[in-house]
Amino acid sequence: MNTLFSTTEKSYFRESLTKEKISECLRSDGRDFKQLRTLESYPSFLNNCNGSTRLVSQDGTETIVSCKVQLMENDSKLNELELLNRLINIDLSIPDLDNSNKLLNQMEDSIKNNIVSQLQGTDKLKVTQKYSFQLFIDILVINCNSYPLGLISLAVYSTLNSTLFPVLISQDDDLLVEQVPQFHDYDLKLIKIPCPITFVVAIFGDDLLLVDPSEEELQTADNCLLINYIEDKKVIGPIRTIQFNDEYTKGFNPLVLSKAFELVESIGDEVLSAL
Amino acid sequence: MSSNTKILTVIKHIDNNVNITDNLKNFNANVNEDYDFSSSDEEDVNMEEKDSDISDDEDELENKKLINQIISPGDLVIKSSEYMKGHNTYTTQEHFEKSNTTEDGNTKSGEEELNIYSSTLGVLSKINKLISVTNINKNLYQAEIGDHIIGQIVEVTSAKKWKLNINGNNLATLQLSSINLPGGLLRRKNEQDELNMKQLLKVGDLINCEVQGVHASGNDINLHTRSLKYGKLRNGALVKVKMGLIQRKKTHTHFFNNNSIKIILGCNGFIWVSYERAPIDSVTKDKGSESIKTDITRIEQDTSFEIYSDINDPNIDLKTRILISKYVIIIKILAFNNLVINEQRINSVYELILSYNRNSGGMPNNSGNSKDVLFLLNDPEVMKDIGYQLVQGEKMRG
Repeated sequence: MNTLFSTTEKSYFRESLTKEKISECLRSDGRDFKQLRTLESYPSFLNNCNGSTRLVSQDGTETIVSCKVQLMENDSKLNELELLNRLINIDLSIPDLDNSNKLLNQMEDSIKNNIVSQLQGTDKLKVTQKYSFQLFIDILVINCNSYPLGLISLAVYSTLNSTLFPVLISQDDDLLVEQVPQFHDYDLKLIKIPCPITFVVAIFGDDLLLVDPSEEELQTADNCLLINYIEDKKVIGPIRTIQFNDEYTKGFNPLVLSKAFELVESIGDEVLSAL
Repeated sequence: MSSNTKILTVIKHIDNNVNITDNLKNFNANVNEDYDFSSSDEEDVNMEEKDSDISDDEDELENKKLINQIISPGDLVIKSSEYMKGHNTYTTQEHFEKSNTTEDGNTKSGEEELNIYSSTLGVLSKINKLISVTNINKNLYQAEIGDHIIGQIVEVTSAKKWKLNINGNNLATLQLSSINLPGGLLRRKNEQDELNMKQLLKVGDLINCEVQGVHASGNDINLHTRSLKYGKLRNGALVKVKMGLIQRKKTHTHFFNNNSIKIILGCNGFIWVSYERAPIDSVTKDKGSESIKTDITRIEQDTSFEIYSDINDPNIDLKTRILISKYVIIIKILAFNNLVINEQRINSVYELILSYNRNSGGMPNNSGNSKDVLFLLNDPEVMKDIGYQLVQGEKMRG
């Protein structure tokens, strides 16, 4: 991250993307404006985890996500949100950034909140009256060459969709009986945990929106949007803006927001089905 | 754009599952057979502990052991006050003070012990009392006098120097005295021109330059731009490739596509692809006695302030931009296939791409189609395929 570009390089990239006609704009790698970079995916590549994914992006950024499941006894004092916050544990580490880094914590929170908000009101992680599944999602980003949140969210999505949970064989009502839940020795089942994916959209002027911007696009964009998308053509909150440069950053026309939503809605399902 | 562009291409590798773990097991087994890390570490520790009461023979032995030993970053090289830290080593803040109580009862604060750590992966070298670590990363650039390279400024120092990242072991220096000043002016050696330094070249700027001198066995590199072909780079994009993919040649500046694209293959693995304005023929045509005069006036014109400006040529059209991106991708394809990059190969890949355009695109419609093809080429499998075709083609020709 934060590759150093020369002023002339930046203005060259900027000029390529700020032509009067959209048809004359060109992304430096020749992608279509709504096209994501090619990914290499290695699903379920770790044997000792309940679910795992390794995604390698075209620019060399590599994300490894693993998900482990543990049994946790519910604390009756907690309300639902507090309980969910305790059940979902995200640990994101990027070797270049230290643990107190603002960007890192923001990404971690955003992923966690996305999952927690989707789990609210469902009892997908509930095992019995007293016990729940606790998820430990570890994310490692190696060779990070651009803002990785988009890639991470894709990896987390595909991990959570392939995470296998142990099957309960004892009774699920244990309010009155003092009993530790028992699980089947080897049988595992898939619980689909809803997880939104995040699109990074870079804004250039009033018309041009770029999905999955590369590092040079991030450094020359007017502004960037983080838009969450969940299956069935739904854009969900929170929508955030994020900036990566001081030179070109400026405000944007609010009409761009609705355009961005339409764009994300139109490509969202294709991205999800490709994973 | 055609409607059938894929939004996201995902290449899945599912079968590798078993292989990875098997490989890992094999690897672990190999490790256990070949190296014995634990025991060698202990030896190190013992050596360091003994440090104080080593006789001369043992001292020599110790040196032999230390030298030619691979050291990883963060490793403790030596714990001693006798040695000085050299390149690629660092010391920690804490000094261990030995307080020795002598028989008289006075407490002497003994010599401060310094811990010297390595900051890179490399081999230890020791000259008298100077400990340094030589980097063994083959991917770093080893400078030689006369190399044509591209560097990026990372620091403007107060001592009339710029520090450049040239993908090497250390930063290279470019002195104020070894650049052409705007307008062909001679330097007035006063404070003013030191203050002007930042106007000329800033942090982040990419410089096309030549290695003027290499000192201290490759650790101290001096650069110069005292020629019209060197200087600040504009109107294009940088590609970084592995060292070794570029060989030292007579010329490193090549022109493609009717001289509209200029590619500079820097010896240090930095490649600059840019738009080149078509040269005006009128000046170059009338040669003879006037040529010397025009040359002198050209130097004055060309070295005006323009050569250090940050503004790109405003006349680069979409076609040229697509061409630049295309050549960037060509270089990436060559680098992806680990093929040495030279003028001939770039040309032959360009031709291969043209045929690719027709094979897969279907429509020989040149206007919007070329944009589509660009991204198609980013696909790793297409890249592999083109590399294979290129190698086959070269084999056929012999």
